[in-house]
Amino acid sequence: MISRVYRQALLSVDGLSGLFLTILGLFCSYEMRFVQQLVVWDESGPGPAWLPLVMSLILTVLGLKLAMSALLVRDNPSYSFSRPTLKYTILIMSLASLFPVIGGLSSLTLFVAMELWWVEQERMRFSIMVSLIVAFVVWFVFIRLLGVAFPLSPWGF
Amino acid sequence: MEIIQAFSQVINPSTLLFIFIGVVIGELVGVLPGISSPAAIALLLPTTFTLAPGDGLAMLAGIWYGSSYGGIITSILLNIPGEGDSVISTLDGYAMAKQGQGALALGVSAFGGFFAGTIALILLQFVGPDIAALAMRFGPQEFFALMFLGLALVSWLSGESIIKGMISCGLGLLVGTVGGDIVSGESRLTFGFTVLQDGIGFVPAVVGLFGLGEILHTVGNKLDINHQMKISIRGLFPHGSQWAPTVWSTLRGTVVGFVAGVIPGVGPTNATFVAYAVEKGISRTPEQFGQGAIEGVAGPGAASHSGTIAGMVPLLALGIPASGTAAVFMGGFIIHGLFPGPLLYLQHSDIVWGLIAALYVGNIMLLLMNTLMIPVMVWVVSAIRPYLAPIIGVLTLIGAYSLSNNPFDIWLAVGFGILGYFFRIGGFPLAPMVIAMVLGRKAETALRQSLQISNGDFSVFMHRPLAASLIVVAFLVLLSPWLLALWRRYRIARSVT
Repeated sequence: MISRVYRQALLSVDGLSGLFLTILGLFCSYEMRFVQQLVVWDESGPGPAWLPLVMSLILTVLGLKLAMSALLVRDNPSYSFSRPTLKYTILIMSLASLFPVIGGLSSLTLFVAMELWWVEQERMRFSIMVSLIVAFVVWFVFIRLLGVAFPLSPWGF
Repeated sequence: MEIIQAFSQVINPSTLLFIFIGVVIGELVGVLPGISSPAAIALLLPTTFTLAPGDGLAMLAGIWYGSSYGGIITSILLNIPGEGDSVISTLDGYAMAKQGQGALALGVSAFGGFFAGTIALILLQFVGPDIAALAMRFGPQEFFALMFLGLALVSWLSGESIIKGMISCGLGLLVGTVGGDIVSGESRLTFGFTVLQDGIGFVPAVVGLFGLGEILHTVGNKLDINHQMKISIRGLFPHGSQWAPTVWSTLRGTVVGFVAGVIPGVGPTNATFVAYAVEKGISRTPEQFGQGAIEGVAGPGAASHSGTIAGMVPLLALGIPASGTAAVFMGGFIIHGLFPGPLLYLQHSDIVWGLIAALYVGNIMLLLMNTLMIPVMVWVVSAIRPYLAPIIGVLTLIGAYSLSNNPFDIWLAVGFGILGYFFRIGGFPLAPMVIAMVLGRKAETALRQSLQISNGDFSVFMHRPLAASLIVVAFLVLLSPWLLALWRRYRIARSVT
């Protein structure tokens, strides 16, 4: 019973954030001190590792404090994703992966069409039409006017 | 004298066009809930890279203060605040709209905003050079102390919890240290990735944190907007006995907004709440507040606009952004190889004065837009809103990629977007992180220079009175939650005995 209460507290917003920050802080401290073995302090003052190490340790302490206070608070809200957020995250990550593979303009067009159809629940024909308009605007403003060099698709556009 | 020259540079078709584009985008950003001014500035930062620095900055500045005008429109007419600094306008503005006085509320905020913005610009014009001249006498100790105090204040005042503010600031400083060391060039926190040797790009990070993070938070929220409303020009002006309270509230709001806007971490949003509290506190009819009191619209509206312009004072004169928006705006200088601060007034005075002149011109444009084009703006909100999520996604990706044409930056933006989303649902303020990312390297340089002077002795800060006082205040700010808790415990213990 007690362990379930603690588990719920640690899975709350503050609990999870605190644990993540503690791990991040310890990981960065370890990286600075033992992997990269940078100088923390020498006769002329702070070395390259000083500020990152101090910040990592501060984050560790603050993360622990946050996690500990989560244990003391009842009914802490927990992290929850809405379905549209999850879908959008999947789409934007797919877009980042496909961008250099199938080309900038093609991946952006696909992203807009999929977002409107899958996330916003618009009709397929409408989504495709809007995505083509966005593709034209992106091409005109960013490629034609501003000269941004997007990666090309295997089909040459 | 410089300002007159600057006006002659600004008043040309291309610069006027960029100011106009900036204020229109700012106005749209303000009326659109779900996208904030830092997000819009971040998303459009890369597009200014190809423009002349003056034109690019004028456009970004237009977005910055245009959004504070736009946010008030939806607050008053739809009870939906587009920006943080227009939340308070929903209380009396929307009540006035329901009583058929929506046009008057909009008119009071538009004319009051124009007046407050103009006064704030005059103050910026006269105060800025003096502060910059004073800062020229600062050594690394004073600069470090000033940045330390700025970061402490932002951590303290940006969110509901100082711990979360400090965490946000600490993460920003940690992210800022990634890459080659400023003195030795050795890699720090690169984890073997050579692409991180030059550090984490500011633009991918801010477009992710603000643009993507915000849309991940709001995607799927449908907004039902009824834009069937009639606004007449005559209805925009107060009449009879409404003039005196409107004028006095606007004057008080201007002063409150300017003072709050200059202090890092306070900013225009807090200024509007203070201005509202002041108006209600001194009113003979405080019970009218929340029911459609004209002072409840005029005071906060003026505070919002003067606070926004006041944020330029520490940015231009000291190189210290007072808010998240100011930090992102500072990115507009950085991508052109310019660094705000006292030297900017000396080396690039044309840019500073050109920006101030552009702000004057933009203020006039916004007054015209806010009196003549309100129905158009409300129609545009309803038309664009359904396509906002895919448009932001596209702009984020292009924004992250286009500065260095590196696909890795897209992943950085996505990573920071997810972090920004967690920040929002976890109640962590974003402003300290972005400001720390901007100031981190400068603060580290100043700290290491100071300590090299004294061979690592921290008492070097105590030998300079200004640096010492700033550092003492910063520590008091950071320790304030614990000091206050101790004080409360001491008082309880005393009352028991």
